[in-house]
Amino acid sequence: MLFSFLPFELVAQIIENLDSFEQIRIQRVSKQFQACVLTASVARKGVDLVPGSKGYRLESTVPDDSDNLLFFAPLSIQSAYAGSNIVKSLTSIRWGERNLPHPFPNPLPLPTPLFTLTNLGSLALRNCNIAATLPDAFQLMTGLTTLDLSCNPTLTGQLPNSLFTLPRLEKLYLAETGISGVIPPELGDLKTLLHLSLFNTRLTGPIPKEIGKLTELVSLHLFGNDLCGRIPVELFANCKKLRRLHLQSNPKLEGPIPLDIGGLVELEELDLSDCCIGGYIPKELGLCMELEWIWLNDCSLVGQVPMELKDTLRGVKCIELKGNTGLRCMFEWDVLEI
Amino acid sequence: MVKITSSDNQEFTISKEIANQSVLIKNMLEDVGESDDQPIPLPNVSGAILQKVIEYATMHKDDPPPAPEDETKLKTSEDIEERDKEFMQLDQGTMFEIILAANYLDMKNLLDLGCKTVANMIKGKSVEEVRKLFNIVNDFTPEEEEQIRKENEWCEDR
Repeated sequence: MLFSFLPFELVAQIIENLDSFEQIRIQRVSKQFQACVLTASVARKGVDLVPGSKGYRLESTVPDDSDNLLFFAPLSIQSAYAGSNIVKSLTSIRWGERNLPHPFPNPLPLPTPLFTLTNLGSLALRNCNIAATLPDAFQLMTGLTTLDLSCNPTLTGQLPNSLFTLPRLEKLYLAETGISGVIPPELGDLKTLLHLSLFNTRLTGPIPKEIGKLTELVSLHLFGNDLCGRIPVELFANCKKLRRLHLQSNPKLEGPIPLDIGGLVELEELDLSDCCIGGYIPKELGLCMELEWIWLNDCSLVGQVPMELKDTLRGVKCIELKGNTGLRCMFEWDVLEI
Repeated sequence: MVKITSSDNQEFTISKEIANQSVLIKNMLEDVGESDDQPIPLPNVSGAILQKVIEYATMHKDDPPPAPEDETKLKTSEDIEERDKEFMQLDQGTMFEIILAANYLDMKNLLDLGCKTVANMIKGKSVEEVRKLFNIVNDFTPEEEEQIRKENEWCEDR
């Protein structure tokens, strides 16, 4: 009697006594071994045997050995691990903080079981060497308030539709990635959004006027892309809680600065440098009395700097208006550089 | 008492409590009724293996009923009783025959014991050692095997 004569279900029953790491290791013994490891029930039992898999862990701040099971194991084990009680209950994954050593030396995929962790409030894989296409798989992650995949240059793809169905999303950080395509009008569905950071990506096309539906928005960073068309008036008219507006370095983005900018009464930072703004600086800018920093360099502005600004913008630390050959300033203002 | 016969027509007479450890025999007894003293044929198990299985069942006849599954307890293949370890010190062929018989006779504890014992033999061994130990033919092409090896490199030197 040889091992090879054992029927499949008995080989599976033997292999389910090995923990996931052993299972992964021995799957290349034979096709039968591999088929067993790829069986959902075998994978599930193996996950239960992983040391620490029954522990109590609601937050993950540093990836441990078993987290590899979620990212690098065969799909059967990834799914079983994501479905295990301990991982299913995770509320936060925050890896790749600046001061910690690089968590993943190998390119990190974004496997589908990751998107079944429905208790996650925060998924932050900053600077984690992600090499994947952003999947359209956010449907189930309804508790997500923070999604931070920034600083992953080899994260590609477009902004997926399911991303815009997240009912509680407050922070969306996909800056410094290889994300491309256009910003869809569905962006306006993220009604709870406070911070949107999509700078230094490969986004193209216009900023959709639906951005005006994001009435809670505090910061908007879209600089360093290839956006075009007029900056929608709706942004200035409706997003009245904006404090930081950075649209610079989008050479095809057009102005002029609408009079409605005066409605952004909480605005602290305004940067439209290196955009094709044109036109005048409206005196309504002076209504943004919280302004501290204004950068409007190389904006093809013309006319005169409105005198009213000096009277009302008392807190300004710096106004840069360099590289606007058609612009004149007829008064002295020590914070102004022209 | 219950009579059973093996595939090679050896007859064994065992007590009911031993017989009942096999769900298969237990169900058969319930089907045929108490009065019938016809031996129960077990055409899938040889006399030699049946002898060993009876030995195991006799050893465990006074065991308390199994406790309900404790979810929080880590189920490892390390928790084998000493007497069971000794019982499983068999040649590979017999071991696999017992696993098959336990599966056929529906004896969960013996099947678990067999599977755990084999799993323990696999643990910590390299792929080549496992193949050699059990005479398993590597049916992957070199390309396929290399592909799997590469995908799981992170796991190899843990």
